[in-house]
Amino acid sequence: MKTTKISPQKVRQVAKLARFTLTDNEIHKFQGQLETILEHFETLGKVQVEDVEATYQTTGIKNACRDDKRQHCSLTQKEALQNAPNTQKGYFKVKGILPEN
Amino acid sequence: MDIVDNSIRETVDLFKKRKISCQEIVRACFERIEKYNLSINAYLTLNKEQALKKAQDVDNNRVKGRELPPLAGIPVALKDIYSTKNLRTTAASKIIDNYLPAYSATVVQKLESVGAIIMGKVNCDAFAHGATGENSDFGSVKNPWDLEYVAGGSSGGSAAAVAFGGCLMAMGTDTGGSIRNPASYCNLVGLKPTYGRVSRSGVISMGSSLDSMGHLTRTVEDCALVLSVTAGYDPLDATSSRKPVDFYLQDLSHPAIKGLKIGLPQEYFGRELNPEIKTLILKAAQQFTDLGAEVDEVSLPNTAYTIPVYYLIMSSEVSANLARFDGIRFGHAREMFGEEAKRRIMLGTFALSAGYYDAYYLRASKVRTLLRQDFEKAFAKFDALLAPVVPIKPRKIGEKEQEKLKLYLEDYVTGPVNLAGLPALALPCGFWHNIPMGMQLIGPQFSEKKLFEVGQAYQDVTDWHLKRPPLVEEMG
Amino acid sequence: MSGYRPFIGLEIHVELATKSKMFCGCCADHFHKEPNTQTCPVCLGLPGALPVPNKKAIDWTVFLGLVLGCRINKHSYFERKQYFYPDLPKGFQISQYERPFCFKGWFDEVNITRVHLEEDTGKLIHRKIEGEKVTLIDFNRCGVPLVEIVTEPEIKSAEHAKEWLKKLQRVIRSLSISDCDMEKGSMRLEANVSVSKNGKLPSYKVELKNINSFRFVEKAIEFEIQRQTELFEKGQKIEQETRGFESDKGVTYLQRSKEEAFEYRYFPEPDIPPIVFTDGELDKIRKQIPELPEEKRQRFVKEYSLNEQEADYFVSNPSAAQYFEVLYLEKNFNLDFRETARLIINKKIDWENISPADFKAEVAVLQEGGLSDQVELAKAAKIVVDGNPKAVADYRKGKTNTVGFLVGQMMKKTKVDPNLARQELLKILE
Repeated sequence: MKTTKISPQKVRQVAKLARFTLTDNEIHKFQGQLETILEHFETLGKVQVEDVEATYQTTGIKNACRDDKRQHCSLTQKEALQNAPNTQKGYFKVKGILPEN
Repeated sequence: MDIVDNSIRETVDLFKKRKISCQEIVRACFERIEKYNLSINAYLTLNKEQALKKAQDVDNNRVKGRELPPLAGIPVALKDIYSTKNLRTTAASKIIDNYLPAYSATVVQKLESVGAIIMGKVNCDAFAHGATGENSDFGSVKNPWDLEYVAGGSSGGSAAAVAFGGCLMAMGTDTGGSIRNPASYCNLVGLKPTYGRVSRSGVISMGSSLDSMGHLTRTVEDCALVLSVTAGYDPLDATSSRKPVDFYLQDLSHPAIKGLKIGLPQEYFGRELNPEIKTLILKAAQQFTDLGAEVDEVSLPNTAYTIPVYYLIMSSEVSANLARFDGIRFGHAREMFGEEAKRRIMLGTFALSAGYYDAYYLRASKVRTLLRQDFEKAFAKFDALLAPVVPIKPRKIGEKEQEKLKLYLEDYVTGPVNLAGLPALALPCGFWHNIPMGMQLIGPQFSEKKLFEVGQAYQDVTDWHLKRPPLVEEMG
Repeated sequence: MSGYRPFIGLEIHVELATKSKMFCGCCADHFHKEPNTQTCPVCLGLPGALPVPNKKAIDWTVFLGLVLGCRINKHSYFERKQYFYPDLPKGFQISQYERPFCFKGWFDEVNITRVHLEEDTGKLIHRKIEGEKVTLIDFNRCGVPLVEIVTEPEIKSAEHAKEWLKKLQRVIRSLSISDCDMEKGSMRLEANVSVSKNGKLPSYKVELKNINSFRFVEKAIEFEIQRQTELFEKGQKIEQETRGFESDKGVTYLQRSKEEAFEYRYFPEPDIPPIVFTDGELDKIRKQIPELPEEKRQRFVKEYSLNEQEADYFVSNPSAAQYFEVLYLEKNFNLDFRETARLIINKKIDWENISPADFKAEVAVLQEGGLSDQVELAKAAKIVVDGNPKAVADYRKGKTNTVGFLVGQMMKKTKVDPNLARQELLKILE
């Protein structure tokens, strides 16, 4: 009996955030898999983490910055575009989208 | 045995003594590739023309009496997530099966600058997602020791390429065990360096806070030599360490093992560990004792949480790292991601989403601290830890198709090392039937020099690492 | 009025004028460059490329935050703001969320929620090519450092918004960290507008985008307040939404409803270690804060008894202000402050091309009623030159000290400073 439930609607929402178009079959499959995985992860909820700080980095490094200098690392226009499926006179090209800003 | 079955060190000696030329060895490797790659499926893209040309340059320089850099003329393979300028880089995924990077990874540039010959790009689990090499969109990698078995993963192609003599060294990556696991399967030495010791710049990211750029070789000495080249601060990687690089080869000829305290994490030797594998590891522990080390049990109490912590953090980072694959500047549409990549992206997106972030990603990051503290406490008493790498019996290809999710559970002996950012050295220590089996030595951050010494001491009294796969032995 | 009170908050994006981009060494000056000629693997979002933060951009952000009265988070970090859009190559923007560099500031009687640092996106151009609608993308701008300033919803009216923004722009420009120009796109605005009858901050807010001038800010906000008020008066509900402003028609239109709102899934950027400031570093930055426009204006009014417009002129023209103050430095000049100001503002004396000493000399002549006007001087010089052809010929033969004779002739005719006279004559003779 699964204790962690994820609705198909939630799976669809997650798929949308991940920019995936999933078939109904796939939604159903992922729903089952995610539930199984998350069920295994339920033990995590039992750990005492009250005063524990999260670890996002293991290096201990701080202030890894660079000076404001121009580097000769730039790609040429040709190199920048070399893998693009669609280009137009130096621009990358996609199907028209509604302008936002 | 053939010239391609030697170690890097032996090959460099042969070069120096003028017993063989660089072109000879490169050609010999390509012959192996021609003979075996179809059945083993290690190489995805070959760099033959460039490799032969470079080999010729090395030989010319040698003839002119020029001093040669450390890896001059040594054939190496690169896991296909290392960007190589104008050499196809696929991450073993159909989504970028035609991608030509406009730049090379820092490590690749470093290897080239010391004369290494790039033989080609090798297969792996797509985007490094997996532990058997079966998640490649271009077919599974087969184990050169027995073609019915997996070569391990995700750096399966890297391991197989060295094992069958298609190169003398291969770069891989280790995010949850992906160098150590295939090293074990293919009878190789595999190093997962300290996180930040080797630059990640130019390597396709999987789990940004977990990825370590490591390599597979035949001997500990070779491994130390390669790290001398790849280690070091890179201004293009803000997470790379400025700590000076040790002289890894310095004390290898006289490794100091006496009195060294080696811990056996009891949680890794529980019911889940295959009894035959347990026997092999404990045998190695005894050998360390015989060498003068003090071996004892130690506890890493939060081990049980490794899987949820690793998978939640790794998937979250993966889901963000793979968002750039939108088919606009390179690659194909997102539908071309394989099933495993999609699954991890879905899991990660979920773990970071509103309402779930606290319970999943944040909580996992906090428990990660507890796992780190387990190691800190252990290293207060011990110099190194000895543990298995593959806890279950080796897998055959296509086994348990339906139970793909169970594979996740096997990362509990390798994953914690990545969560804590520690170095680990995998070494051959025996055989499970006809399939090689490895162990790992885990150390505190930046203790690679010590790990090499311990590994060398072991290789001085054992000969597992000298064995070659039967198909190679047959060739003569 | 209608009994509905508006709550207006502003979000301002300012492009920093650094030499290189925020996370890579590409040139940050992208104005009018050929498309996709200033990119690298990092800002193009190629697999494997890693971000390394620009120290100057961080320092300038803290600098601006301090100027705006903010507190500084001594431990700060970047986060990934995730969403898909063609101008966002990585599929996430490196920004800040939980711990911005600056927070809880105050500027011109409006509370500032936060000032944080992020990277700019690429530029989109919408076109029709052979009957097909396409969008073209240029990543030259992608990765340029962008400071985001967010205010509390305390702006009281459309006009207040406009005036406050103008003051903010003036301050930012005076710091020399950005040209803060709405036409160039180095200053961008968004307004959050809601209305309520009971004086309490409503639970919704409408985001207004696509506003690219101060005039439009006023118009857009005015329109929106009116629109929302009317909806409420009809008994309708208003929900969180994003609206664009159409400047031709002066109306706002729906862009994104609440359901379509992006969910950003922020989490700490794993590729960039945290940023930590010491007190010493913050003090160093604090010491670099120059006299701010408002301070300067008040001081000029007080110290020099100037009126508001005169003070404003000097605030907007820093070189004039500096010249003005230098005149009084040596304490050998005692013309009335306001008279001096007028001379400079109206350019009665060509102060931009003469030294302060010469300026004082001219003033002395003026005080005696002598000639100083450029045009008059030129006329007088010409008369002298025309009336003394032999002296002019001698000068041209090489007898350069004949100019002294000509100066004398000018001074006989009219009160004039000898140096100025000589200058004018030489202009004609050369």
